Amino acid sequence: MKVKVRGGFDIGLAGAPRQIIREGRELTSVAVLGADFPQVHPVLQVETGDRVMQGQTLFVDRKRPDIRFVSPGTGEVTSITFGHRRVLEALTIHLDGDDAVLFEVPAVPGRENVKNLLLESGMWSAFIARPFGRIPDVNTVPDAIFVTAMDTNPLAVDAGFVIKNHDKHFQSGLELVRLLTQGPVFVCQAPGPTLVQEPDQQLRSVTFSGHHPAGLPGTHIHRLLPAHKKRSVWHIGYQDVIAIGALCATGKYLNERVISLAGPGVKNPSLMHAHLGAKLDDLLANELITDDVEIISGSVLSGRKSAFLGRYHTQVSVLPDSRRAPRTNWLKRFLGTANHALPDALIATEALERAMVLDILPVPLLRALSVGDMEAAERLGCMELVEEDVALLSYACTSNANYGVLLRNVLNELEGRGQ
Amino acid sequence: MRLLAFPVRYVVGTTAPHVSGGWSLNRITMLFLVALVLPLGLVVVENGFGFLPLLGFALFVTLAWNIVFARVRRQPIVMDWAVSAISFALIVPPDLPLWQLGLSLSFGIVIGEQIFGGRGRNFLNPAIVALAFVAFSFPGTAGVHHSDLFALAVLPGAVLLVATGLISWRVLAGALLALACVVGFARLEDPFTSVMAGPLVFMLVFFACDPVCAASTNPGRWIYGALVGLLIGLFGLPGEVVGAPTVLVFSILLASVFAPLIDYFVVSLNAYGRRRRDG
Repeated sequence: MKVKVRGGFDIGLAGAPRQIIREGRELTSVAVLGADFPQVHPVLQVETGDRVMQGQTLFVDRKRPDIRFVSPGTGEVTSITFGHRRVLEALTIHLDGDDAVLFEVPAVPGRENVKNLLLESGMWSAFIARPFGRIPDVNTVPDAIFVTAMDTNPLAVDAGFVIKNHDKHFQSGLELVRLLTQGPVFVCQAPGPTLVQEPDQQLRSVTFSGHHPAGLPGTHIHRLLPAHKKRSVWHIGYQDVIAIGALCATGKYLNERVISLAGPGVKNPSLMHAHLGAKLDDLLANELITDDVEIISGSVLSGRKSAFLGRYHTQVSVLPDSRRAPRTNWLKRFLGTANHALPDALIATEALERAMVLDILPVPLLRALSVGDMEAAERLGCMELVEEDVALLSYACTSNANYGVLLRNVLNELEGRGQ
Repeated sequence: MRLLAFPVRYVVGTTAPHVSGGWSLNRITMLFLVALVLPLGLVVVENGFGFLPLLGFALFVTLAWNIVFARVRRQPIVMDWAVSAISFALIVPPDLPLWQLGLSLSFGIVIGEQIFGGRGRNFLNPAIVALAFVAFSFPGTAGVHHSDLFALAVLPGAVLLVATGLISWRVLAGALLALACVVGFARLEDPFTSVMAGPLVFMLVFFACDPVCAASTNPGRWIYGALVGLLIGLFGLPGEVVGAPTVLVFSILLASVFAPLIDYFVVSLNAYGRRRRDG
């Protein structure tokens, strides 16, 4: 099956990565970041100073204690920091070994024992459920699973290339993932030879072509099987499918990902093997053109400034430092009473239509989000979206409003109302 | 259709996205001003420097109101006042006394734009409101300062605005199609001259297609455009010239008033489709 996505943007950034994989540098530490799991209230199972092994449980979710979050490395817990309202900020581990917890892999995989393996090994959190974009509940069964086997973000990794390198684990990972649903498993990929070796009624290969956001799970779900109040679907990234396959083969939690290290601030933009949660200072040693840069874990459209690699991120984007003194002139000084806290007005240009590739009306949606009108936003289809799906709207809008944040506020309200 | 775009800007902050497409109110205004250069130049060349006092006064009045409201609201001034002033000055009868011009323009700027919070928060084009005020209050002042070249001079600017996506080609196409239909039915003797004489093309591009007062959904833009064309045809046919300024002013004004309603129906239809799909 082929889907052509019209519209979208090809954001031209300097420093596109060459698709060759280099070995990552020696790491001193890794971290598990609270920002990756905004809805999780962690109950810690370790303390500062404890020795932990790769795959050992660090904390569980207070509301859903079956969902575990495990250590991406072996070493000593050096710090656990909390932010506002005692939300976990970061749990940092100083690396000093490479032994790992061995999980018992079921000889005959079935729905229940695979589920238990994923929960035990911390791989459950690789799945994200729509609507709302949360780690799925343990007892829910999705109507479909979407494997995102492509990436159209600026400066992204070529997913097909990585999958070809890890084909065995990818295929066996798919076989495990499909056990979790009765419905279809869509493997969404860029145009090219199919990445699914044995497609059948359940395991289907779908090709998406077009500019970003053609590669986002939100776009795939909207086109193939839209999520709504009564239909929950899950999505998972291709590297996590590979990690599940590797877990099954070795019994170990795979702590390595292929990431793209790219952007205008990088000397030699290319792909790299990197630890989950890797300290970016270590990763970027001798890689930067100048020190005057902004380091973003994830894509420039949906990532965040961070000192460590995010759990779901497969790229590190390095941009020139944009903190410049605001430009001023005599006219601005004369008129200089500006209240910059207010967003500018929204002008309904064609750029906004281009930025929204789903069957959702962008300008009415943005107006509803701007004023926090939950009912209108729901009618206009906001349940199908998460932050990354509206990133291009913020990118193309005149208003400087951050529609991702506004969308999350509305989604939180809708989610609270449903419970 | 590919859009001409600005260079990417880096806006690294606490939340994504960390890049911006660079669309801002002032940059959009700049492109509108560039699009206005040719028509403005043509009128100045053809009317001599007699046109300049009118233009200067229009600029002065608009800027004054913008400063007043920006000060009161403690907001920065957006450059769009210049677009309103110039487009108004190009259409308003040149022999209009200055006090009438000032009064009309003040009405247009204040009631059509500033009381809503400025450009982008209003739903009518202030120049169109001002021109409607002129037509209502001071009838009979129908001077003409447009040669046949005027329509031609608008075209490069129109291409620029369509290519950058600031005006929607859907509105333009809808209007021209509907107008062609009406004119075709009416069997005018010389339809092309009758339509193209006067400021029709200019007013379609700068007033009817203004993204602020046009419909803001793609299906709505077609309907809105068609409504503009239909009204121009219907209002204009009884007179001698389909493209007479007064006809255009009231057609565009009426269509813009209906634009939010058109959007409302498009939104309802979209929401209905989603409800049916989701069961």
